[in-house]
Amino acid sequence: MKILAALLIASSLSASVPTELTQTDFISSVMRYVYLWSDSPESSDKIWVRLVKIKTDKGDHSQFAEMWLPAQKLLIDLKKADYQVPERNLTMKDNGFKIRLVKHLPKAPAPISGWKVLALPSKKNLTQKHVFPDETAKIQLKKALGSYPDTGEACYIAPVSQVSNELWVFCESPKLALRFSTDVKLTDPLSVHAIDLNKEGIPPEWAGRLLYNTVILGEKLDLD
Amino acid sequence: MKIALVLIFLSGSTWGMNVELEPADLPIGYVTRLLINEVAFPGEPLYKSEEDSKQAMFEILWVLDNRAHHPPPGYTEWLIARTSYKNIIDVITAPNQVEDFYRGPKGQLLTAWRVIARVDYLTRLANEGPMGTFGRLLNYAQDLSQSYFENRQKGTDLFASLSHVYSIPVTGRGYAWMTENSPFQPDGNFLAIPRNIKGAAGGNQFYTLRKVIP
Repeated sequence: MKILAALLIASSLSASVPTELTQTDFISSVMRYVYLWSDSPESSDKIWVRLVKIKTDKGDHSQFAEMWLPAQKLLIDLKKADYQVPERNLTMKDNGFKIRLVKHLPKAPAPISGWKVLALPSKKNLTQKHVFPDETAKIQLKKALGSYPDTGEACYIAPVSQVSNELWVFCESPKLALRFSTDVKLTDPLSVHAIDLNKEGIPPEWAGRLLYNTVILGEKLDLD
Repeated sequence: MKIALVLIFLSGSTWGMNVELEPADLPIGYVTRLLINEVAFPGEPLYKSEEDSKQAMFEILWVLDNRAHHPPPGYTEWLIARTSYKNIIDVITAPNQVEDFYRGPKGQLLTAWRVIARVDYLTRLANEGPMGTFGRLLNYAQDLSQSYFENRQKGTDLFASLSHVYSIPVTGRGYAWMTENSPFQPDGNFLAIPRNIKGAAGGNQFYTLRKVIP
């Protein structure tokens, strides 16, 4: 009887995960992002998924979720924005969950009973066509980069992931990485994070991923 | 009715006065700008709530104070931050400590242009309409900073009595923070404080130190 009760509890928690988080295409896109920017998912065959209750502001209906790769002990934090920013006259309503961050943890943030456990999609699903910002967005991006005093003349943009609201740019001289991020509209970012690649402490593996994503997979953005 | 109209008018006339920051070259204004610059605002992916971002500001100030005044047993200021200092301004402006905050050749308090641009933008947004989340967050940062320099720091460090992180003995108190989605994390004896005990807030991960035998 006790076992049955435990199974029922686990089942009810699992049932609260929206279908969009468990679809093969979505998980494949998340895995591709992780593969390109963080860690190889090759050693995992399972992924855990759950919704997370976060206290938000009044009128903010954003949803938060987590994915956990047990083999790598890797947490993927997701958000589906749904709120107003009256000061910016913006409605931040996203059409799907987007990755907020990916990080290693010593252990899962909750016991397995609170998660829906899924098989990872086939590796062949990791291959996707590269998507870049459209011409209008590129013009705005060039404008933003032009106002930045440290960018030099040539920059490269990484392909945009459909499960992320961030855009990485690498500028050659001086060596600089720029992350444009927002909750919904990439062409109107509030947050620009600049990383001086000449500084000490830049992890070589991450720098390699940045260059691969921007210079190899990316597009050159001529700032002349 | 007349009184109500006058009140509405007065309220409308103060829209441009929601936020007035102290000058950036004075300690109160300088720390205020740091607290504003370091946390997530609405529209940014790491934003969760006003309360969450305020908590991050509160804890960042404690990290600065802990570094300046509460080195744990077995640690020196030099071991924690590769420098020595007397106050939180020294902590902030020490080389390779808080990105984009530094001293000029004559010791003046400076920030990178992007900090100035961000704070100016947020202040303009806060002052364009009635008081909202942006205005309250900016004023909270200034209130925290002002209280600190008037020797009445608010509340206690959330992590003051923390004794273990994932069963590893720790010193307690927060000694570092880093943007949650940063590609880098502090290494050495810094240990990330788990989320379930509020170790992440306002888009930042907070760290304590592994306990060492003095």
